Amino acid sequence: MSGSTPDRDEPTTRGATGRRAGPAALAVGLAGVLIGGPAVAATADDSPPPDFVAQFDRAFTPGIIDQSMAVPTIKLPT
Amino acid sequence: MVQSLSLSPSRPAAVRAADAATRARRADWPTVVVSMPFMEFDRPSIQLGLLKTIGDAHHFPVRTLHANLDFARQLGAEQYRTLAKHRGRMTGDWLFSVAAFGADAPDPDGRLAVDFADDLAYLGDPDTARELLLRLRRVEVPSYLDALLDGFDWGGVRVVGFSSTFQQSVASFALARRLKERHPELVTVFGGANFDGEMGVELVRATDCIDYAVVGEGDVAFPALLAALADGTDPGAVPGVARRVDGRAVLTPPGPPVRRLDDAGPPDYTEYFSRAERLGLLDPAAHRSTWIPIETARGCWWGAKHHCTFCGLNGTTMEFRAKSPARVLTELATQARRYRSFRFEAVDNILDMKYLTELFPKIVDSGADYRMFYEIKSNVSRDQVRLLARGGVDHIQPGLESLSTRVLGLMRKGVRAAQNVNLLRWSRYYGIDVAWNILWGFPGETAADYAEQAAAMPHLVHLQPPGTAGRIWMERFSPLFTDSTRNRTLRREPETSYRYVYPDTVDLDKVAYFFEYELADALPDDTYHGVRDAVEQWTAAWNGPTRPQLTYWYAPGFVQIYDARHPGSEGTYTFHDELAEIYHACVDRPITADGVRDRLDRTLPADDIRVALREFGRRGLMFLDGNLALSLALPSSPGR
Ligand code: SF4
Repeated sequence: MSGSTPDRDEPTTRGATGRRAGPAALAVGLAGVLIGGPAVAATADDSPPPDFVAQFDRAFTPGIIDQSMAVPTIKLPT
Repeated sequence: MVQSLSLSPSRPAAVRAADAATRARRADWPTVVVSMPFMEFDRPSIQLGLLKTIGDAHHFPVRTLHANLDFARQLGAEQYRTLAKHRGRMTGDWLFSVAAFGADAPDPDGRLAVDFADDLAYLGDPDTARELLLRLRRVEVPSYLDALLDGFDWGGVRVVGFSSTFQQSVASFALARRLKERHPELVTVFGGANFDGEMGVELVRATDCIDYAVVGEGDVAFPALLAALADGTDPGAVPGVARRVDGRAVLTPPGPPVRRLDDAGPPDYTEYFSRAERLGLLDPAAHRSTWIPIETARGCWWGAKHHCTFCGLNGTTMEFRAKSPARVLTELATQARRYRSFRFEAVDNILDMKYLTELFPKIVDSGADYRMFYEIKSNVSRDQVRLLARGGVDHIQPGLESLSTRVLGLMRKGVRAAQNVNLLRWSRYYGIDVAWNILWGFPGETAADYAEQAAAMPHLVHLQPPGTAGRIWMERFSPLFTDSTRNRTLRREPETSYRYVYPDTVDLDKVAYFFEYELADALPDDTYHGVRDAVEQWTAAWNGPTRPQLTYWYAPGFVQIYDARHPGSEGTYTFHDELAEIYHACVDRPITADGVRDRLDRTLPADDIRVALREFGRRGLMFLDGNLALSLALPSSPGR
């Protein structure tokens, strides 16, 4: 499909190892946005600029999700 | 909630008060209103249904005759449907032109099939198409008309009305001509969209079998014309009625448009259902799935302010009028019960926004199981799409014509591309089918406008594709038609195939609805090849063995997006913390970076957010439209 994937080639290739965003990437964010709420959130001014581009580069994991797994199966206790 | 049902048509006070003598006079004017080919046969004609109801309310014995059904039965449903649904060339009118105009009809030998072979390819190769069309014209049409003349009880009928929209005019002329030959005292009245404005006046001038035409809305003019006939006064003096005087057409200017749509009762479709069942076109089922036409509003509230440049839909009456929500609720319940179908097709050109607060919540509360089609304006919110879906709307035509905000501005659409994409998203999510098209050819557009759309389309393949993509047609009444100076129109002439239908005594400039044209600034056709190819690929992907999907799962600070839009490239994006929140902030509707910042309690500078939006856009996970960003994935949890 013309033009369908060029934007994704880069992350697809880099993500081919199945790497996920690791702890370092997690630490970059302002967890306070949600976890701590506004009162404890770091302000924009005193935060280091997040390295979004790097996170994007690690964001993609190729592979098909088995859609049947979307339906939970309930195991009864034996 | 229980609706009070009013099964009898309401009658204006003046009509209710008609005295016995008036009623007796009117009872002496049996009237038949007819719908001829090529109206579709799988639903009743709202025009006929409404005229019957209005006629009854004024004490005229009006019958409807869905004569189109007989031709569908004669040709077979499939062949009839094929002929009815193609509107590019005037093939339907051409088939009846010899019957209507006799020796004056042009093209006796079927050059139409050869000269428009490409457009008529759906009928087969040129020889096959020509053979078929000539057989239909020479054999099937005359025998159909004979059967109508002989098979319907015309005895005692004094007025025959013909309603004509799209390709119904010439078949109507053909029947009118034969009727007048056999029953010269019959009065013929024509009306419908094909008689709006100067089209109606010219057709009256040029066509002998027309006694009167109602130009514009018929709700008031038609019963007034019948009343004039019954009372022996001059029908030509009725506002909105045209007739011939000494070879000239004379129109009494139409009155104001009908403002109180609540006044007329629900359309009467009884004859349609009994005829369709008798002819074997409908099963006599206990429960029907026929789409029942319903009119809840007329005109267009958007067009009244900013007329979309290509739109000729509303003819001379753009003013928006709507039925009261209470009246609509009653009509839906009444018609469902009368015709045993819960499907409704609103013929409105645009949804009344008031219905989103005053009608659909009540339909939801009532628990009614309606299924509905509506034309809407596309900038509705997620909540509004959900409400429509819960209220039973499962088909919409949202006036969605481009994915370029610049082009949408040129066509005066009053919506941005991101809003259009958002409508496609929530329509898919809530299970609403969207009928839409990509249009091009607007004065002022550039090649870049189309390159951008072509580049965006591969990211949208999880959404419903356009049904077609092509150059705008020039329709009478549209700004593209009327404003030739501003549009720098170099050439404008009636669509060519009209010449194969009408005798040369008819002024096609006045009769045609569709026109061919050339604009000074038009871009060459190859400008649009990229979009056309992208639409083809989108359609193929959508119709492929596995429907493309782009689905997200969200938890605070965490988003995963499963991208299965392109076979072979499936995978999952994982975003944490602020990226997850940024993506989630753009899910409901298009939003600016500043808007995202506010939603995130100003924890990030807008510039950082812009970087993130750009990256999401680069990966086709968001649709970027100027300063607006819209997440493209749909929620994994259904129906929220
Ligand atoms: S295209 Fe739709 S919104 Fe625009 S003027 Fe016509 S009916 Fe109204």
